[in-house]
Amino acid sequence: MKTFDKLYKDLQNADNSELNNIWQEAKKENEKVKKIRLITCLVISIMMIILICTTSTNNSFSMFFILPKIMLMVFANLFAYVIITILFSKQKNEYNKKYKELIIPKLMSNFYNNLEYFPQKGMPQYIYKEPKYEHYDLYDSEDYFEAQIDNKYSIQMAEVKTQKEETYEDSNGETKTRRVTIFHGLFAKIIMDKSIDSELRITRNRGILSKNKLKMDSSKFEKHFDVEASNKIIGMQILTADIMEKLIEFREKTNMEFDVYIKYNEIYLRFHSGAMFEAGGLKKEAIDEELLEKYFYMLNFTYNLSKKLIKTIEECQI
Amino acid sequence: MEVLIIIVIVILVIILAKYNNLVKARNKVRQAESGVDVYLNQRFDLIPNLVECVKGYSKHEKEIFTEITNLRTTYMKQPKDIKNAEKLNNKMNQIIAVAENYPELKANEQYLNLQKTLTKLESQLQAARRIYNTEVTDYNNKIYTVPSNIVAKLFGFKEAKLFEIEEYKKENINVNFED
Repeated sequence: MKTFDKLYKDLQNADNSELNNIWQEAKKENEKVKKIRLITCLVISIMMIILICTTSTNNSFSMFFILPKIMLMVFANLFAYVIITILFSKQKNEYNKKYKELIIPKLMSNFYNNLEYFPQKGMPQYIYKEPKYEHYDLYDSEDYFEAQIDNKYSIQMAEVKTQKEETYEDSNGETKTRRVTIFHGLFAKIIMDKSIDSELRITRNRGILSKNKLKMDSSKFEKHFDVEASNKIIGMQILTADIMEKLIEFREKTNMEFDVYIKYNEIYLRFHSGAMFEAGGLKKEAIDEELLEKYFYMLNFTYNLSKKLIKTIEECQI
Repeated sequence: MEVLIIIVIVILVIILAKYNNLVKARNKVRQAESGVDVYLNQRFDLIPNLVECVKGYSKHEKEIFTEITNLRTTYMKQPKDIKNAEKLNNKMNQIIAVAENYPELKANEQYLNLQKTLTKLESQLQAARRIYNTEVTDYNNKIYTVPSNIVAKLFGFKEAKLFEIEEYKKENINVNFED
């Protein structure tokens, strides 16, 4: 397994002419889009100001008449901004697509064997439902991976987004619906050889009062996490000082919420990381080092944690 | 007058709540302690098998075998005695250390199965010990922090001791091997 520096160097030294060309095109397109957006917004603003001036009389220069027109101007500008961004992002989408095709598999192969990557495919919903997370109304997933850890343990991973629909009343008293994101990030399922014959769930500290709550012998760990275990002895056997330290370290370094659920012979990992495996903004180079390092760190943690959990469960002879 | 009554009632309710919390915490300690006892007893139940196994290979450690059998008998009469448990545990470690010096014994199937069971039990014992110590720490914190410490003193709640017996580890054991 390579370190990040070695991997990044190899990626840079590889033949990325195709990616670089698309990146250059996307950058040019981005500059063009910025100009179009600026001109469009200026034109809309000038037209709205002229409209306000010509339709208002001396008596109606009060806020009561002007404010809706200003709001309309703002809304029109926003609408134009979004439409232009959508219409003129073909090259950026191509760049993103090429990035996922060329860079992401190399990143994943650093950790996992027998990798199969389907950028457009998502994690099957029934797999996401297995750990019984929060209720949601809408489900979306992409960047689906199937691979093996050390040529032995099967792992499936994907970016998942779940949302809930909420109804609310607006200022006019009309009932409207809005979408609230429940989870957006990386979701993984690993299958072990051995079963723990029970369930163990590690989530962020929510002050739960469940009868299955397991108090841990580390105040630092308790500060960040809650643990529920159907078998407290097995829960303690799995959560060794070493594993607790790894979880704390990741939490403190990334400030990212994540949870671990082990049910019989299956491990489910979920990271509230937001969008994963995207090419990122059009910065200095085609392969954004900072972003790639973030993905590397997360995948490295996922890989090491999975291995550590599998090893601990096997050694405990549960 | 009514205000005074309300204050008294509030104080009584607080005392009752604190008392109940202390009782629950103490019961959790006892429950965790019995958990530790279960695994300790399971571990000590392996002693006769272990002695039989090692005896066949080492005829020179008769004293250790006699000692451990006697210690086990003493422990079974008073299972809550931490000192006895500690002595018995140390003697068991001595026999395991003796076994480490006989390659033929280490390859013996019965001994291998025993080792596997011992390893499993040690892991469970360590987990039970951690649970016990966590409950004891929680209970002791309640006994010493204000205002539960007032209620604790009033009703005679005493500090619980942490479990300090070390699980199996290789120690510097002085064992004579005379052929």
